[in-house]
Amino acid sequence: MIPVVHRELHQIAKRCLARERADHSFQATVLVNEAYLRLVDAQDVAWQDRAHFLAVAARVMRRILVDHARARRALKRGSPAVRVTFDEALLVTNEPREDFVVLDDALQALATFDERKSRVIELRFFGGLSVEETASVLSVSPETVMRDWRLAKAWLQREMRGATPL
Amino acid sequence: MTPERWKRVEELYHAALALPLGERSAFLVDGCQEDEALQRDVESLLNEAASSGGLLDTPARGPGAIASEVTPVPLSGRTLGGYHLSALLGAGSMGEVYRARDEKLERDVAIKVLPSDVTSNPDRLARFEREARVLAALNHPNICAIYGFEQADGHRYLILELVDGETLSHRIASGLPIEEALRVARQLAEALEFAHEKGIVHRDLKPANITITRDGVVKVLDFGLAKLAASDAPGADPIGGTQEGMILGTAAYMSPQQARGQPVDKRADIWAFGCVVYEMLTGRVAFAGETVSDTIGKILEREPDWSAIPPDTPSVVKRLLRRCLAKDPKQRLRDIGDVRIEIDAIDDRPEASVVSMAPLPPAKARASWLPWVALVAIGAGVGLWEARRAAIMPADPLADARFTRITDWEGTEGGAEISPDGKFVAFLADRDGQFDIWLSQVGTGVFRNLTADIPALQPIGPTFRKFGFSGDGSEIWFSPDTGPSMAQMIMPLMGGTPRTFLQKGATAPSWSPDGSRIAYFKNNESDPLFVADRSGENARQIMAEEGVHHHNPVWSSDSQWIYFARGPEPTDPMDVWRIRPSGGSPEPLTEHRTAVNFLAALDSRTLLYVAREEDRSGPWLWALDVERKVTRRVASGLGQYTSVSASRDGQRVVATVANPTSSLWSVPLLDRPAQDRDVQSYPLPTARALAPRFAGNSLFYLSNRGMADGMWRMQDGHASEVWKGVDGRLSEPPAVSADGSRTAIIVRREGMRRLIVVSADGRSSQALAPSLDIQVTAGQSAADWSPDGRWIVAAGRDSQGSGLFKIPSDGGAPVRLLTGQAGNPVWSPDGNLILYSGKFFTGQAELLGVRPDGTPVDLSLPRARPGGYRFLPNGTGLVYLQFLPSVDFWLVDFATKTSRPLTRLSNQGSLTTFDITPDGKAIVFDRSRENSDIVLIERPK
Repeated sequence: MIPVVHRELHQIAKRCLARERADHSFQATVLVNEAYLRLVDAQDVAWQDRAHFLAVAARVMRRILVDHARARRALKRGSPAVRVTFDEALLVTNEPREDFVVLDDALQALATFDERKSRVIELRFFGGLSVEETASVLSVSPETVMRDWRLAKAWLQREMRGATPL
Repeated sequence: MTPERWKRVEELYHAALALPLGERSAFLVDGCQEDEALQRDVESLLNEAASSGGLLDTPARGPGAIASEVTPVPLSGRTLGGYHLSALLGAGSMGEVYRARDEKLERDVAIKVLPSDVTSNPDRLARFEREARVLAALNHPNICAIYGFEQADGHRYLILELVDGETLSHRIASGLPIEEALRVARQLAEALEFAHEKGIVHRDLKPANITITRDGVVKVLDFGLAKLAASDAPGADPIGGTQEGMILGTAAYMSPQQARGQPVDKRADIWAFGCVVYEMLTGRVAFAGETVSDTIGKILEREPDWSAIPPDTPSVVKRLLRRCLAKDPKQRLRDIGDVRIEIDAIDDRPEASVVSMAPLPPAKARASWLPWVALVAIGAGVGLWEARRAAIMPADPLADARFTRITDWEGTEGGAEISPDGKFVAFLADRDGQFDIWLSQVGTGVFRNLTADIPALQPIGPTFRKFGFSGDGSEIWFSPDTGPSMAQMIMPLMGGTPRTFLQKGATAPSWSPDGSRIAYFKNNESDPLFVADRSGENARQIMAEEGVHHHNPVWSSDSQWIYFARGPEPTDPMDVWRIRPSGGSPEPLTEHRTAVNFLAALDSRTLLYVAREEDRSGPWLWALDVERKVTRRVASGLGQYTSVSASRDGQRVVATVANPTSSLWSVPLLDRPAQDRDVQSYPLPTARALAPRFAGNSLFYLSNRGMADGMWRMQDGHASEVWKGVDGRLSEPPAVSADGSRTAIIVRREGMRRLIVVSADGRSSQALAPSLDIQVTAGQSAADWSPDGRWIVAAGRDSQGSGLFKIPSDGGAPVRLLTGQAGNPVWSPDGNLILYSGKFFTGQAELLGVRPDGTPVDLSLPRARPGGYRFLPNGTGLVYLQFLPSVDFWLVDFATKTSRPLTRLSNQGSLTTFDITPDGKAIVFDRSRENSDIVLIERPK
């Protein structure tokens, strides 16, 4: 299952990130859902739970985007000027996103003491899942997702800015 | 942070959030029970939420914000630090300048107070400080000195030499005799020469920045400061923006490259110098227009009025002037020092009133870097330099070579490397779902996945080499990750367990030809270059320079040199340099100043590498003759080259060639869903085409002829390029007015996306809505015209936030139609409705409507791909793109409110943009395919 997802998302992400159409902004959700629909269409895969798929896809998408950002950037400073906007619409562009790498590092740090919040950010930010979908994947209430989202964002913003760690 | 402590933080955080602001502190004091650290932690998190407004992190402010900043109270009469400020001498975008008295040293100085948008950003401020230090070292009688950079009372300010005199613009207005003009020119040239030697470019040279003292000494002000106040966008030039308020008056001295927003080098100064000399001699501005865009148009297209130059101007000066104002930077005068030499050589030499105190760098210091010429390969036109520098095109090292495609796989391959003995080829490919290193013995057609069991490697898009062969060809090294603590891994070619190799952070190792030594660099602020022995031990650092990037070292075939790519920014701009393996001063070999990468030594005097053209098209394959420092493009015609590698004897080369193709197709609108057999190729004179747009009797689309995508127009079977990719290339389909007379394109300037209206013949252009950062989604058009051509609706973002705006098409302030996430608007043919995509949900957008006056309209339309919808020309329906269950066109009829599929196509490449023919009978769409393959190049013996 995972290699199939991986390949599909890679195909899509590669097309979107390719030199051919540079400077295009794509919603992460567009990529994820294109993959979903292709897989749904594929004969040999039966997806019972769409939310489950999205959860997996979010993780894969995060890896793809972060790997792409790492590959494209040259790490020069510890913390580059970070400008991650937590806009509901995540824009993915062909330009190297240093902030993705910083975010990824921060997410990994967060996961060491709060796995669930790291997942919430991953699902919503990289997977574009709604609050309800996130709640369904994590088996918690939407209110919990909102609270997690709020606190996690606050913690991440500090962390990515390079403020003294808590 | 432990999970337990975090739980406490979390409880307190949410509980405090639920309380009114005033009660939170008390609550926390109580709840934290003496644990001050805990209280501090929770408070810092609470402050985080408050300051960011809960949603957006504070975005960097663009140049538009400066114009709207409230003017701070003047500081005249105050004391700042040890300085007493008196008169305000001037104010500009870079701060206010006051006359001041240094009480301690009892001298008069000038104080320049920095604006808050520089000082509030710690990164910019730090950069400013570093640069100011560099500028402070510019010690020359013709350059206004920087004495210091201090802060007091919350202000940061530069302490500058106070120059008492008349600005050149003033002097020009009262008339300058030729002798004096030449005197001034010579001193100007000296100042520029001095700074250029030190690698400093002025960037904003103009008569207002030049002062002449009572003794006739020329002083150049504001050297290099234009860059310091610029936005963070790399390569962006603040003067190159079309911010009306910001550059009024300055546009006149911009070089064509600056006008295009391209990175600026000393040749921009030479251009500005030409403008200043022209103005001194003629009394009029060389390039003047009524509006900024008029001026830029003249800079790009027109020559100055040469007849205005006084007839008794020495012909040497006239010639120099033409060379300074050559629009093509390759034809322009390259070294301002030549001006000084020529002026000195004039017989009626003017009484020099300047004392040349600072010794000029000796001529021999320049001789170590021989002037060289870059030539464009045959077919793209040859630009010859002045006769003084005789140019000899080096032989094409790949002439008569045999090219064989090694792979022709679906998917992406890249980063190809060849073993030193030329027998094996390795490359990255995603054939198995993730990127792995694949190995093949040349000539066998058999491929093996070497890293199937190893966690995924980096996808292609490299800055550094990610893997390669060891010196004896028995092993392969690779980078599992590019973090700062990465270690390279190495493993035997025939399989085996990888082990770590070289010190942490070592990148892109390259073995010397005899295999005894390894060169590599470490990935950090100064990119130090190391040489170690074959086992990786005894590493010795041979070079490091802070703030400069060095990548991908490669040994020359005689082991005398190490070549590498070097530049102020990683990957772009860069050039090829070399250094002795024992260390010493590095030496530049090329002058591309674009993306340069992947060096491969062919023989002792030839280097192959991959680099982009000045307009950022490519990358292409280039050859460098290291002795003569001459370059040429090679092996054109196959496609874009994204990597190159050579065997030790230089007989075999492997390269990754990318051949992105894009073409237009048409499918008719039928009563039944159209199938693959109904699809036809849409004939066009250009091989490449994407993003079609019909208007009037023309078809507009993007295309190029081996360079960057520009806008083309086909009319009556004849196609022509109407707009070259000004900032490298155009990416989104243009928006065209209904009568086909004007188009709107999106262009990047200073990190913003700007809307530019271009006439259909490409002759005139105008930037609109300076405060609007256009939001592009899904590569689709972000703007559309009203049917009467008076308005343009666009998705954008200004200081108030995102939304949909309508902009008067001949200039004027944008009117906000709605706030929130909105993209890809289209205007109905009857002008009464604007459709746009709203929130994204599960990958498709809901289609929403708004009237041109801003009234929302309730529609219940099916969801569609963002931007993938166009009105039928007669307005009776909407064609939209679905991708469930496959990528197909659907039609919704407004009268019956039903939708039906128009096509049932198989997926043959990536479909991005479409439009409907004016007769409403067919859909024309583009299909793109990215094909990258590994190519083996074998040179004749």
